[in-house]
Amino acid sequence: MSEQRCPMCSRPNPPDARECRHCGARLSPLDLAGPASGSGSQRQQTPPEQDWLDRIRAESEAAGEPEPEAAAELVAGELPSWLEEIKPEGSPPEAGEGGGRVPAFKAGGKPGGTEAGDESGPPEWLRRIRAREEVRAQDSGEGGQDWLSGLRGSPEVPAAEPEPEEGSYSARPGRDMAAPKPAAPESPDRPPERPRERPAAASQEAIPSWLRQAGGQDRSAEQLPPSGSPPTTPPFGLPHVQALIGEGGAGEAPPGGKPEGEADLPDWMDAASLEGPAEALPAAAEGEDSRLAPATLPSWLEAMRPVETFRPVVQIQTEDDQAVESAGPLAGLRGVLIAEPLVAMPRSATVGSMQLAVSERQYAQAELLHRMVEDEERELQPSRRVRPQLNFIRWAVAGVLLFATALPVLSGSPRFSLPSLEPRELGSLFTLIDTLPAEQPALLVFDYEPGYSGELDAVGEALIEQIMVRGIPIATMTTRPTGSPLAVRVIGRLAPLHGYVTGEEVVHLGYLSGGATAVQLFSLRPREAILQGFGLPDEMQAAGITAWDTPVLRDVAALSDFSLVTVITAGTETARIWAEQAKNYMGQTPLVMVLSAGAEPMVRPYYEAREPRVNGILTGLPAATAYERRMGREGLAAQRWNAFGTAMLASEFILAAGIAYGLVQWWMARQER
Amino acid sequence: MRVRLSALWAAVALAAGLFVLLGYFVQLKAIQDLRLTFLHWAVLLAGAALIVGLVNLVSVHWRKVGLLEEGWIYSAVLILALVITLGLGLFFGPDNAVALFIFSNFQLPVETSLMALLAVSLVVAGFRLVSRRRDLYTLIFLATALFVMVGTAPWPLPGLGNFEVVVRDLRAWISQVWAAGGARGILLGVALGATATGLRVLLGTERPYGG
Repeated sequence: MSEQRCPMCSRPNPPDARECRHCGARLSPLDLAGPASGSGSQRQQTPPEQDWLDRIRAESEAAGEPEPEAAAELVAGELPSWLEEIKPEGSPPEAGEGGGRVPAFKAGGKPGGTEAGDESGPPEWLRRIRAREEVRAQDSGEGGQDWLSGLRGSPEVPAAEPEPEEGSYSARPGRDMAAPKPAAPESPDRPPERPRERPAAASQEAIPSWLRQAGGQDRSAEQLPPSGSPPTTPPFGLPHVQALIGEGGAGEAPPGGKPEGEADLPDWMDAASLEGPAEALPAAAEGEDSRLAPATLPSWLEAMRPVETFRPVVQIQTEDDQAVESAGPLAGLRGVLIAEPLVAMPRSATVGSMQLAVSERQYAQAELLHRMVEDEERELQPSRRVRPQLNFIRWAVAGVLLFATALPVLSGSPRFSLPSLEPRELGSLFTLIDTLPAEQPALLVFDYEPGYSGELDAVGEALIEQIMVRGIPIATMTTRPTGSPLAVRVIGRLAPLHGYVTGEEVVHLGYLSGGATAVQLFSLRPREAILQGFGLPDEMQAAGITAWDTPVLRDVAALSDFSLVTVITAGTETARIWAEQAKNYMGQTPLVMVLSAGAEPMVRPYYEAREPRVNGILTGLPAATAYERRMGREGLAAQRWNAFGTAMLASEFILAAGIAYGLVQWWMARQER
Repeated sequence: MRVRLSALWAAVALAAGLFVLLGYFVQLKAIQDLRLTFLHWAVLLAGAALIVGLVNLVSVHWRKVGLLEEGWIYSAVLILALVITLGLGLFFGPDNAVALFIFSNFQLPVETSLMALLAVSLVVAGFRLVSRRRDLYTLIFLATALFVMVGTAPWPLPGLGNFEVVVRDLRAWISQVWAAGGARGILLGVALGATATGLRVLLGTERPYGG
């Protein structure tokens, strides 16, 4: 491994570094005794008690005592008394119902001692157990137990303790020093759950002085210190705590007391020890995971955690698999909480695990959102004020058109000949107007905006002039707010020419508000739709005379009472309303449309239908000029003909020049490629 | 209660529409009178809506002037012109000489000038069209416009009599066949849409009045 990654920031670090050079986090777990020992298995390979054990050995050697290992080997299969104390005393399962579990007296007994301990020897309950064990051992005569029998014969054997199952109750290095080393191999046919007799204690001669010193205290434990006395402390400083010993049964426990040297158990441990029968303890220890509810994380915390870093369910390891603390005051204990924070433990790099499982679309949306947020935070640069540039083409076109329009008006040339060809519908319209009854008024509807007055005034005047030539009374109205002044303006220009007087031959009804509904209402009841009128002489208004009381409209009660209805409009919608809403109530009264050139295609279908709803159309300045020519008069259309012609000609040339310019550009670009 | 009110509104609208529609087919005096009444109400409501729109216009521009928003000066001119013409119309009538003078010398030239600017803009756009967008449809569009203009405008070359006739006929063919055909299609679509909308309103499926 060439480098090591920081468990905090996952950045690479030199292999010999102890702290991350990026974030300063510790790269190895905290170990006060030296460098990090790695995982728990590695810690087990180098027992932490070795240093203090070596120290004790050195002291013993200095005192002239033999090596403890050598002394132990002198009497093979024998254990010192102090080791007998901490080795769990076994009793056959049938010996008591409480075998293999913590007896009840441990929970209820006094700490630090028992009442059974007297100065004359083992307590009564202990002697009873020993006697029963001896009898049973003799009756059974099992092989490999001879040494146990010998041990039992020794008066120094304090008690027989049930040996717990492996894995469920193992001696902890540093506290139960000799426990991992069995005194004798087990018989293969021996049932594993059968408790083994602990080996007899070694003789006093075989025990080294340092062990005697330590074991003497244990042995003196048989004399049971008074209740409530604190546990004895070995010379190396660790308090002596007798191993948890499952006694033969609860009934054998002294009432109201704990065995000697028993440490105080926490409540949870006592409760756990009292839960199941003796046989259930090993199984419970093996299946600890199944008995305990798995530690699950809440859903919100589950969603927040890194996917590959932590497990959702914390598996509680068995005691053998748990690491042995190698440093600090808890050195030698197994299964303690790890001093180092979990994030500092060696684990997989968090960089990869922090990658969220997102689709490309989600990623794109996140990128878009990120960009939007960045754009919001970005300070807008003050935009440079763009200097207005003169658009040469636009100004050139405007100048050409203005010049073309003004030139005939100012200089009188060029002069274009009046159109020799006239539209097909012009003749029928002229005939229609020419045959109108002169006693019935004609209704003129000025439904166009002032912007179209340049065209429609000229087109409409041609028709209006023919009506005036015929002497037909005229009534005007409009459905647009600006229509009435337009009507007044046009009629005011033509009326003096033909002797029309307002209120007598011509009358203005004014503005009809309401759109299509108002047109329908006016078609049904004209007098109810428009009440007064517009532009009547002052004397008529002073006399309270309305437009309907004038000679023009005196006999008109319906739309069919008009001799002609003429709609002057530039909008197709208005023309459609009149053709569809009013024509049904007009009877034999013809409907004529005076249109702008742009509205002609939309109105022509009403005119060319099998049952036409429009009886005549007059469209555009050329048709108006032709109409005036047919009348033999030179009206407004003829006056504007030359300006119209030059402007149109200029527009045609400009369009042609644009087409040629574009094609030449395209050809040159193609040649360059 | 809300459901009942919406049903009431729908019933009122349905009844009004059916009575007006029946007036086209049934010539009973009661139905015709009822139809006329509804039409009167509609015209009155249209006039009231015009007043409401006028008030809204004034309030919007008044707020712009009060807050000195961008272009507030135009809003101020609008309000000033509105007050002047409205005062003239209310006190002297809409057909008094001053009102007609304002119309003929302010509104009419301004709107006519806007139409003239539109003509210039259209010609400029036509000039640039081939340079900006060079494809077949552009050429067809410009060629059609050019043919119609040539056929409409005064003929600059009086000597080519037959050619003038051909051009005029071509212009008439374009405007009275192709353009009129397209216009008829549009009108048919409009008629179908109006019929469908009317039926939806009469059946209560579409309720533009809410509910």
